[in-house]
Amino acid sequence: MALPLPVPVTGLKSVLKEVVRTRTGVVGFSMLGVLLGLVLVVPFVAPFDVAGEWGDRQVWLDNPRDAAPEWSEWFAGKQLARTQILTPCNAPGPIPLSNATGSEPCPGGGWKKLVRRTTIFGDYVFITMERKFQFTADVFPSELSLAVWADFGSAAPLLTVEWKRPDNVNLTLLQVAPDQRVPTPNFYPLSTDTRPCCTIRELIKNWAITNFSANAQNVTLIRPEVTLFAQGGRDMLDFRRAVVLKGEYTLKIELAVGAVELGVDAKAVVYGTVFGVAGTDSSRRDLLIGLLWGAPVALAFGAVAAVVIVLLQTILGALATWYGGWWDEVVQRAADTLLILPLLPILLLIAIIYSPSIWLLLLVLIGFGFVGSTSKVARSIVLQVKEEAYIEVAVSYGASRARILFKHILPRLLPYTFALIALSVPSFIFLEASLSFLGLGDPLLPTWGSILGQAYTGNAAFRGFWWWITFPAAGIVFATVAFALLGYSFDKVLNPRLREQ
Amino acid sequence: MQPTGTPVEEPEQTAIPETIPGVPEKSVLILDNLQTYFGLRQAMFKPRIYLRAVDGVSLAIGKAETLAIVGESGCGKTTLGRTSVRLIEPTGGRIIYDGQDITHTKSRDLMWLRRKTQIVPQDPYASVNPSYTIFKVLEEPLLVHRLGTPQERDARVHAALEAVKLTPADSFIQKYPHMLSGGQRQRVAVARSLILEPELIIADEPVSMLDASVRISILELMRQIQQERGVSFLYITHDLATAKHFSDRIGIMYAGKLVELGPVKGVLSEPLHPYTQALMAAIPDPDPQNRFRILAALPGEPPRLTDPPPGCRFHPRCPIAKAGLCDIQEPELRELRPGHWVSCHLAQ
Amino acid sequence: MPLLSVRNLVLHYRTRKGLVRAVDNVSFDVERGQTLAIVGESGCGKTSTASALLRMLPRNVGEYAGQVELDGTQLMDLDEEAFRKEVRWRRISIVFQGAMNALSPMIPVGQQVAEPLMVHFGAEKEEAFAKAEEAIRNVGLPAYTMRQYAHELSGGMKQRVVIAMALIMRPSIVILDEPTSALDVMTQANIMNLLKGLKRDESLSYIFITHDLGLSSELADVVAIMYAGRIVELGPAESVYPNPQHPYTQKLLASAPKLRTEEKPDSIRGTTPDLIQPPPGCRFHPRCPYTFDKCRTDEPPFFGQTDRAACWLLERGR
Repeated sequence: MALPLPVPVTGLKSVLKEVVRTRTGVVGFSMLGVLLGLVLVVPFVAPFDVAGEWGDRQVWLDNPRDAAPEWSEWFAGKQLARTQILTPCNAPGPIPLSNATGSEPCPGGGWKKLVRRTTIFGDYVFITMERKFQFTADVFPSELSLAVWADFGSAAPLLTVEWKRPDNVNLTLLQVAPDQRVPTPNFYPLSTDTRPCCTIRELIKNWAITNFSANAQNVTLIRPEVTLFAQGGRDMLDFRRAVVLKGEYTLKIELAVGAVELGVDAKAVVYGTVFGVAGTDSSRRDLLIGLLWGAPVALAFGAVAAVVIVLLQTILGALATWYGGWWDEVVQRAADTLLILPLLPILLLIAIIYSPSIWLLLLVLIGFGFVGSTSKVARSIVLQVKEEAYIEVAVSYGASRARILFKHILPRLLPYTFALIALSVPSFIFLEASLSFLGLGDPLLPTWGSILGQAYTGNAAFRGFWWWITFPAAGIVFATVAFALLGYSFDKVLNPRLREQ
Repeated sequence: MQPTGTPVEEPEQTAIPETIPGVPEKSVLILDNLQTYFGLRQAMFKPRIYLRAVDGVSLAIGKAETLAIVGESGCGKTTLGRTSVRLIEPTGGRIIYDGQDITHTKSRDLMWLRRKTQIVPQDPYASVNPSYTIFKVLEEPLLVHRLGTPQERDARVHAALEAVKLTPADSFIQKYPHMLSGGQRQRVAVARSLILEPELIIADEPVSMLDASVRISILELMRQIQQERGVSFLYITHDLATAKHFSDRIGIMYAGKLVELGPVKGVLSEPLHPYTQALMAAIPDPDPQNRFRILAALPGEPPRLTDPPPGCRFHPRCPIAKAGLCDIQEPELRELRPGHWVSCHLAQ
Repeated sequence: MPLLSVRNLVLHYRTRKGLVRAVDNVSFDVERGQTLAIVGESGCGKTSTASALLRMLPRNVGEYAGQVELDGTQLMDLDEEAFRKEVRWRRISIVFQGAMNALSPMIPVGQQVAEPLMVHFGAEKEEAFAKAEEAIRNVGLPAYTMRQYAHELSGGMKQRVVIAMALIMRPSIVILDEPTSALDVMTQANIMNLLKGLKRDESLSYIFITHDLGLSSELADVVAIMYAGRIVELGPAESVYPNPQHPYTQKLLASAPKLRTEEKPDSIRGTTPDLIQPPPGCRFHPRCPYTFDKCRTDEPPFFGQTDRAACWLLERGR
């Protein structure tokens, strides 16, 4: 031959070296590196008791619902609202009883606390908490909520909530008797207004019409979080047309009780429309955490399944082919049978009936996959390698069948095994994603598939919550492509015809 | 070093039949009417047919002797080489190694045979595990037979490399086969065959895939090994010219049978079988006059081993075949000159 | 005027390891009705020379240059289309190494022989088949072979079919690249006889590429010995075989074991040279028994009249 012979690529090390030389190999390995980096880094950078907290509502209460990522502001072209938390002074710690008069310190937040007393008609104490905050976004907040802690005796206090606007047209939002004592807060979701319904909205409607001649609206269509922040005018009751009134707002709460002692603390949240890097879902969960923690689960499941199944199939296939005879037939027929079985429907059935954890499902997967197409690939390779001259020579100097299998034949299978593992990881990642999507995966862990599933049930697409769909999908695609590229580059190296001279 | 699997009791010496041609004083391997047939499955209702690769071959190889088996491709010589050391199971006849009949011995009792006989195969690019270093390649036979301590094995590997002139040995032991040329790899194959100190080496076309200039050095090496260590060689080849210069006796095979057997000088200076004569006439030496002459060549092709012609297998192509004799009766090997046996009715 | 005149033919390949100088400045002539044998070991560049002549270049060709004049036409000046239509297979054709294995198992061989005529030259089916049958009979095969499939034919018969394919357009030159390498000795002899007959009857010129010196003498009128991409000796058969001038030729002849004489064959020490980085000076010098200083630094030109060899030993006469 006129050309120098290409170096035969056989050992795993040399195969890996060759793979790293191809472009697809480099890209594949770097993507894999990113994923592995994620898996390793995440527990340290974003420590999180995933299993415990992902499902716990209380953890997420301060996040806005269905919020887009903060950087989407770039595309919106206007300033979007960030959540502002008007933190309480002492809660969740113990709330001191106010027994003096005058201003009280507020260590935890920016509230101005003032205590007044009168003894005219009996002992009355009035505690006022006032908080100023700026609102400069171009869009309205998504929600408004208030929590008030009250420490009182037998006499029932009265709570008054006042809203002061930059244009000085103020209103009293709420007048109600709180019934919860510390440590339980009294919760007033001002924008959803479930209890009592529509009182706040009626109030706001009347105030808007009286002060600004606003066009009347059906009470149920009024959004407090809009009108309270809207510029005065005819449109302020119409959430489609209202314009934001930027400036300094003050929230003032006053608790009055006929007693000597009273303890008060308050927290308000002006929920924004954007949050974090990846937005939130309908349960207010920070999707970034879900995504980051979804990676290890996807990878673990996919990798473990791929490695165990491919290795099992390869070894069983090689053993059966090498020792031949009856075993060969058994293994091949078993492989044929298992190949035909529709895996996803079976897993679905098992998942529905037994609701197992994701790891138990993995075990079932392995059970249905201990022989299969890879056994056949192993078989054809073994049959080929068997014919090579050095195998015959090994027999001629007395090597036992077992020795030849383990020392000469199985090492030749290794590069192919690697390629097959890389190529099958995507399907297992997808399988897990599919199961989670259908709600059959592990209910406690966030996985990309389960996030997608929740997006589906939450009608994310219809409601325009693109972040809820795009990011988990991108994660799945990224992982799948990483392994597919790796597998492809392995194949390129191992398959001489695809290699360029 | 304790060798593995030596036969415990003294083997009974088997009697050597008279019909085996040319048995030397001391013989290492004797084949008595060896037959190797391969059964081929046919379509559902057709009966099984047999490919008669080796169809009644008898010969003997002496100690420290090179016996060349020459024939065209498909004549059964490779099968003969493999069967004679039980790498392929014989269908009939006997194999006698060092006086012991090993035709039916169980494989697990043949470890000693696997030490005393070795193979050097044809393809230098496939005869060695490509992912093993040269050291591993050479060490493995020692490991299989559990010979020696690591230091002793190391010494044996070095000695083997030196014996095949791959020196300095240290520069080769860590190399991988693809780093060596074809000739060097074949030397490694020879070194591997030497490492167990065998008595008989089956060299199956050991140089046909090498360049012309390298062939001679490998064949000379094998010759040297024979002379220095007293190793016998069964040299299987299609190249009559190399057989001439590198063997002591030569056997010509045609369609599974031995047609001529004798000392190299005798057979090639006076070929008695018409096939041998035709073979010799068909091989050109570099001579500018050749282009003006027609090569004496036989028409036709060697017969299919599944369905050989009746009588003498060569008769359809034979220039001197006699109807009524050659097409009916199979000729026997007759000693027409001292040590020179021919299987032909009409040879003198 | 010679039929084919090659001057300074160059064909280099680009590989990951470097530039392979497969054909490095090769020049020779082929006279009408004469055979040039190019003899050399594997890796010397003889097959690449054939590819270069037929302009069958791989994807990674680095350099391709030289002058090739066939019967008055400058081949290197022709563009791809013209070369394909007028020269390839029409004026020069080739029998490849292992060509008989390239016969399609799906089509009868007769059709394979006729196909180039129909597809390439636009001949009518009947005419093409008639020509094919004539070519088949010309190579000594019976006419009914036309209808047979490749697997029904023996090695020798397949090779004859391939030769028929090469001859079908009646080219002036046929390149034979190891035409008998996979064949038995007897079949080889038969094929050589066929080629001899065709040479005589049709006044064919051959370029016969082989590594087997004995075989080359069956057809060669002129012998070119190739080493490391260059021709080291070029001369008439009558001079080169009995009286080789270049040490490599001498060693090559000595290393071929002879059947008819008692001469013991002799090996050549060293290994075949690397075509990416050939040895400096004379490329054979590391393996030559007569090397002296000049050999290591300067490349020798050709010396001699009829039998020319590139060796410094011939400079002042030995």
